[in-house]
Amino acid sequence: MSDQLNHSFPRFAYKGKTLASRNVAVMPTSTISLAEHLSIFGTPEPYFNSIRHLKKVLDENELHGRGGAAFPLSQKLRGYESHIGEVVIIANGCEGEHLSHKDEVLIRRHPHLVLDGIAILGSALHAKAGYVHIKASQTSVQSVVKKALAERSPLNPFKIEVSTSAPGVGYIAGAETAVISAINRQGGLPVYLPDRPILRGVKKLPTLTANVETLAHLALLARFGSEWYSSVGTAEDSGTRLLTITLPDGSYTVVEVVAGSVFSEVFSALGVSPEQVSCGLLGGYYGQMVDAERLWSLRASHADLKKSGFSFGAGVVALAVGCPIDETAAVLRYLAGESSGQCGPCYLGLPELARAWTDLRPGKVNSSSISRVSGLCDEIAGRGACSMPDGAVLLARSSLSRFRAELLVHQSGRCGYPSSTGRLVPRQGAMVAR
Amino acid sequence: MAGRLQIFINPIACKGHGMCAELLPELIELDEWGFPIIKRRDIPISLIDHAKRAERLCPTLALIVKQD
Repeated sequence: MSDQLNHSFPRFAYKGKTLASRNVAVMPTSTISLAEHLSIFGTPEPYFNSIRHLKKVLDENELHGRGGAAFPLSQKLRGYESHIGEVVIIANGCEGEHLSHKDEVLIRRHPHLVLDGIAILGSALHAKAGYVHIKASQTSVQSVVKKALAERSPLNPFKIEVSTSAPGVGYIAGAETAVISAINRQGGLPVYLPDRPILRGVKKLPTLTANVETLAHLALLARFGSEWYSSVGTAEDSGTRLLTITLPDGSYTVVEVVAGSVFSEVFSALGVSPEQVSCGLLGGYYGQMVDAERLWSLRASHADLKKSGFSFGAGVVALAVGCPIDETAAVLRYLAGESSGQCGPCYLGLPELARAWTDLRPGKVNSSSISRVSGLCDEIAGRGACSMPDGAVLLARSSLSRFRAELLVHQSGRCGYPSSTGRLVPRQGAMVAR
Repeated sequence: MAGRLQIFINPIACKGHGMCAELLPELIELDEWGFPIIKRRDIPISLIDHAKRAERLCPTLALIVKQD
């Protein structure tokens, strides 16, 4: 292994603004050049030329994907082992989710760690080609990667290029099959590809897609070894992770946190107290609504959240200040409008779910409006080509079950909160980096 | 249990004609918008011919019968 980094934390937010907590650091956005990258992280080891070496690294320290599904990388890899020499690698940095910014910030800061990750994964599989996939609208992020690729051209073990989402495709642009469709210039919408692994992907070749943050972690793990990697975090979830946190004032910040930190520590480092917050959306649009008290008590670790029935999704934690039922309504309305209109249960079901949800408002809600919402959830779940309708259902179900008390108050015609400020959904000019 | 036949629906191809629920009511019902819900994915032996017929007759070729 190369020289050890002489610190365990922060890793990505190195030289960033460290907060009053030893476990939370704010990501800076200035770009680390190749020269700086090499001076911080040392000269890279020759990339693995065999899948065995890579599997050994992942045996010592499993990486769960950071794109939303938290799928273990070693398991993903397994599907491509018999296709060595044919595989295309995609580093997915296309954050369709409006509340997520951590991939964009990571690429801006550490393009070379992401590219190291592709090179490591691709070399082990003797990949034919690699792509860094970025939203069409994020031209400056694309430039950062293009510049980094040019800087390191002698280091690239195979051809790596920047690809972009189809213009105009929003939330679902980052779905794996939509990414492949965009690269193949077939419209960039999700495709029905139920089989895993995807063996007919980009140019009909086996195609492995991994989130950019997952690849950056892989780069650190491969370079410094599992002992260093797991020197912070918990036994079940080692290292760190990036989170995009939407604050009560509507601004957002991307932070690196040590896995297993209690959320109360994360929020208090950012100067937010639970009294300022009515509820939170944990896991973003594929996640769940949760009350502030519960959210503050949870641990920011994949394993701990799973035990409590939650997930990070794409690493989104959005804090809201309005009525939780009303905040949920705003998100459901937004999601209904983001359907790509391909699957009936999604383009017909989500608008109906959003409409039925409005019947939970004060003075209107009764047992039949509640059962209508829950019946629609049962009807829609699991029936889209991508997981978007399932995300909406999970969100609706979580809000319905956690905010019973609020629904009871609504039955009496009142509500104890201000109405939704709409901060959980896009609104022009509303989201600003802090 | 490898090799059992199952039904799948390509939700993008499906346009909600509802033919499958007519031909295979034991396994498929329609939702309130007329789109199919699979009640049971595994096809019992007695229904294999019916399932294959439904697959052939789906107007958008969205119904798929294949081995697990």
